[in-house]
Amino acid sequence: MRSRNQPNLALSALAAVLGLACVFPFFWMLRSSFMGNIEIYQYPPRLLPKLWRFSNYPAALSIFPFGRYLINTLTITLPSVLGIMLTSTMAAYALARVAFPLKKLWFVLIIASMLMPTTVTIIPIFKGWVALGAPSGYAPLIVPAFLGGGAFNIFLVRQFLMGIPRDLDEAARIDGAGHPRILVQVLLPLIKPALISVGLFAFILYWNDVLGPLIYIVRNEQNTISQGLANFRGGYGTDYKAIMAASCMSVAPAVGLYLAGQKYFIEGIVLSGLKS
Amino acid sequence: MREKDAVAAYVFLAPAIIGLVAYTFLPIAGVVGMSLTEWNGLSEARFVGLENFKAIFTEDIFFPSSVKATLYFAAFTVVAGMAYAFLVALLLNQRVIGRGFFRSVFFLPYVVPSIGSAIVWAWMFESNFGVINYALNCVGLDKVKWLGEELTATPALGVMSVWGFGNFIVIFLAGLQGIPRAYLEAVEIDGGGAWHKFRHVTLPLLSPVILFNVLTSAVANLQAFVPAYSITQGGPNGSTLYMVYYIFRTGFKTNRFGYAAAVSLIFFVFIAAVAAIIYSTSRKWTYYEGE
Amino acid sequence: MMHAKRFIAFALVALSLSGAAFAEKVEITYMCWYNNTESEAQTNQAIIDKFNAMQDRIHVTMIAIPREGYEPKVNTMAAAGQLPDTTQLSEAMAIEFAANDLLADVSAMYPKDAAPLKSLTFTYNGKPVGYSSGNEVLLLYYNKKLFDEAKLPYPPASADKAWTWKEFVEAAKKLTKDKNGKTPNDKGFDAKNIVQYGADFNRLWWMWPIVAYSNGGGLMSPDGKNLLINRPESIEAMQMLADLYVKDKVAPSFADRNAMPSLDVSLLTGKVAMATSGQWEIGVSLRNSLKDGLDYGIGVLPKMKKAVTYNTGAPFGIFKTTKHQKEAMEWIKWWAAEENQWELITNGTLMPVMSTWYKDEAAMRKWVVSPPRPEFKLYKSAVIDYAMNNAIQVPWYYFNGYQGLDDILSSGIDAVWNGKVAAKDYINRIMPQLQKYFDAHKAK
Repeated sequence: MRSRNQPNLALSALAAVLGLACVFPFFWMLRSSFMGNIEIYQYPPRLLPKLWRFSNYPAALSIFPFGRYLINTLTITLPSVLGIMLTSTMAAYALARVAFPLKKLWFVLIIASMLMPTTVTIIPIFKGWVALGAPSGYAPLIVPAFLGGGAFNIFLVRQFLMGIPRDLDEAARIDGAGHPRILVQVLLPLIKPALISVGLFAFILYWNDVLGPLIYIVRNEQNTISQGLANFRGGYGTDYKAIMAASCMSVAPAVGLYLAGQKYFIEGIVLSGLKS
Repeated sequence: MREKDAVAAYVFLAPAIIGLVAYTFLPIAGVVGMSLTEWNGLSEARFVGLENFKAIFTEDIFFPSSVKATLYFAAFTVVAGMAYAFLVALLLNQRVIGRGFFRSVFFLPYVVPSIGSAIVWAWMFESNFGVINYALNCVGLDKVKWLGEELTATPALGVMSVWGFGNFIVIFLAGLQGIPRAYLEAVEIDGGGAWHKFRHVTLPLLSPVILFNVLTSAVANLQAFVPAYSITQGGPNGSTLYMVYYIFRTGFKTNRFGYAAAVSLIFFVFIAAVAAIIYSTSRKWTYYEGE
Repeated sequence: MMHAKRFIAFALVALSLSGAAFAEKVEITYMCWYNNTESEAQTNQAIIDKFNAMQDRIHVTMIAIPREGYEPKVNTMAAAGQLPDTTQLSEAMAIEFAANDLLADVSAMYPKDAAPLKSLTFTYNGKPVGYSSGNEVLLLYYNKKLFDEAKLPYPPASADKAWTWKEFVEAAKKLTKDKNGKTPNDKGFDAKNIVQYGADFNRLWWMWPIVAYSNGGGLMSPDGKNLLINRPESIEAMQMLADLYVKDKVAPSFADRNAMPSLDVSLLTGKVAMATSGQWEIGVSLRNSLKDGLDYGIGVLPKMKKAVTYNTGAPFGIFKTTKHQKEAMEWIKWWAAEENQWELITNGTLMPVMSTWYKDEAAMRKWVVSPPRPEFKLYKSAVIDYAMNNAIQVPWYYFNGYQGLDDILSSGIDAVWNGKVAAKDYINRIMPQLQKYFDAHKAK
């Protein structure tokens, strides 16, 4: 029997091959972002630019005000992530741990809400905001995050809670703990990985949103990164070197956030409380 | 105690219920109302009863190809994507050199803005100058018109989607690492091999996670939008006219909101049916430790 | 002391004056799009600022939307009753808005003898509802260097000498090269590995039907009453266009076009030797590559039976929902004036809309700046004369629901462009749907 701590070379090689394929689009994006217009369309393609054109970045920045986009995107994303983590956990707790009338119905309804294509509810929802007198700006984008945080997240947290043995909360309950305390003190530490995942997924969701800002943002100064990126493709053909430079810039913060949080994100999963 | 529980539960659920009413029930009521009308969004709606529904099933030239395209895309991404995500998660759960590094590598595509990912993949799949065809050329194969052929357009877009499945990998991985070592060791003590461990410990204990991933990836990919919107615009020949894009185009581009509402209701019922089928069969193969 | 008092008095007066002026100003919203980057919106804002500064009665606020999402955005706003006062309209939407009684009649905007060219008027029920912001026509662009290398004469620059389709295809064949440098005329030509395409005749949804008109057919009659797309001449033209890729092997496939670089880069890098597109390409694309050495020329489109091109241009409109129609009209008239669009006109994006700019050489030379435009003589014959004598309107100037018509027409058109289905079979297949839609929308 192989030693437990011996790395498996064959599997490592497989991971390396798959990993390389996975990284390739990033590499291609980065290398294209330093090329000139002629080089980028060369066939057979060059692996690396002959001359690294760092000036592509300042040039892209002059038409893609990344700093402003970043601040706008974070202004929408950060409160939304908070709202999603908070309210989806609350809902998931009720659905996973408490017996109450109509529980099954609510669960099915929440799951079912995930199935409705959002494209077509845009009009009724927009009309609702018009009726409330706030048809534009950030509020319509942020408020929904505080209303349950979406079926996907509720479902995810619920699934994690379902995997935690009930003895834990029963014990706390016998000690006289109420529901808020059971959730915060007993369960939250155990589902930290799930919560961090939800936070990250929510972040990406808002980071990516194209249709929402398109409908609700009217003033240019409020545009987001995704919008800025989508706009590149409008009208008269695509300036690939600029769009690649802009894409690289847009990826960077999300990658940074992930790398900063990966200790919690991934180590949290390793130390997951699921083992009870 | 019971009543107190119920009150607490509803307090916890309150935001979600308000969200459900404001963002699902009321809009759906609006959509149902819209679906019974002919409405271009520019002037008053005209009540037409079930005409829209009749037209969808009898004379719509796009609906059948849209159904086909949607199913093809969802089937491709769920099957290929789940296989990929599960395989990578299993791999990363083994003794692999640089495991932490590889975890990041496989997860990172997920954080790429979908528009950015669409741009770079369309560029790589481009048939004249694209690097994927260059690779084919290098090994002596002819170029393939990836996004230009009905048969290959959806798989090409599917690969792009699956590339971003890092979230599913992480969820699988979380599930795998949650499996108590003791269970696996128990099998080893009984003399069970790797397959035995996988089949009798890993799979059953992972079943809630598998259910979650299959269900959410199926629902999300049935509603694919960005690839069609930003790369193929439904072509070639309707082969990537995914339903949500079709609904979007019918409503927002050709001003047939009533009709688009009717299509989306049918689509809603369809997705609900698929989800219900997956969920109901899951009772046979999922296992909850907590219950 | 005295000084301070005077200052305070002055400040008070100034304050009350500006307050009064501000209170009286009519607020007008103007919605427009920008292509690719926000800088275009900033240019517009600067012009609007100029208007606001010189106006004491009207204040204009711009709402700039990316071109990509313009239609969805406008439709959402319309559906929610939130339309702005004035707008730039996508061509395909204009008549539909008019037919739904949303666009104001703008015949009062100009005196009869000083209105924009008749060809640039969007008309519904005999009334003008908008004028194009520029006079755009479809042209044939080419890279001179590639013609010189192949020792071929440049494409003709006047309508009376326009290439026949056959001459066009022959030239294109000589300019098409595979990776071994062979042309479609050579033995062993490798059609799967073409590195330079001879000709890309734009198959964009609204552009391609010009070949049907050129062949004596068309999309619909200019009175908007009869569908012509199923005429044998139209179908023949469509097939000949498809054959550029399918049989002649001189054009990129329809799908590949999407990934093609912008026109300037396509020409500069020799991806294509010649390509058709609108006059605007000079301003939005070609001028960007001049510094990299692009030497481009302009010719007229090849003809099938007669030399004809499309003219078009996105219109400005005034929504009937506005409470200030008079002020809205005043603003749009100012905004549309050539003097205020001067940068776009001189950089090659727009051609003027008023006939005065075309009346003699002196008037034309004022705005035909070269570069970015080619030398005056060529430009006048290949573009201005062509636009004045050989252009017909894209049907969206008069047909209600062009977008919906195209939805059906384009539903499976890639199969024709890819050679999977013959044009004849395709048109016959969709004809019942097309006819039904057309009959429901045609001019009564």
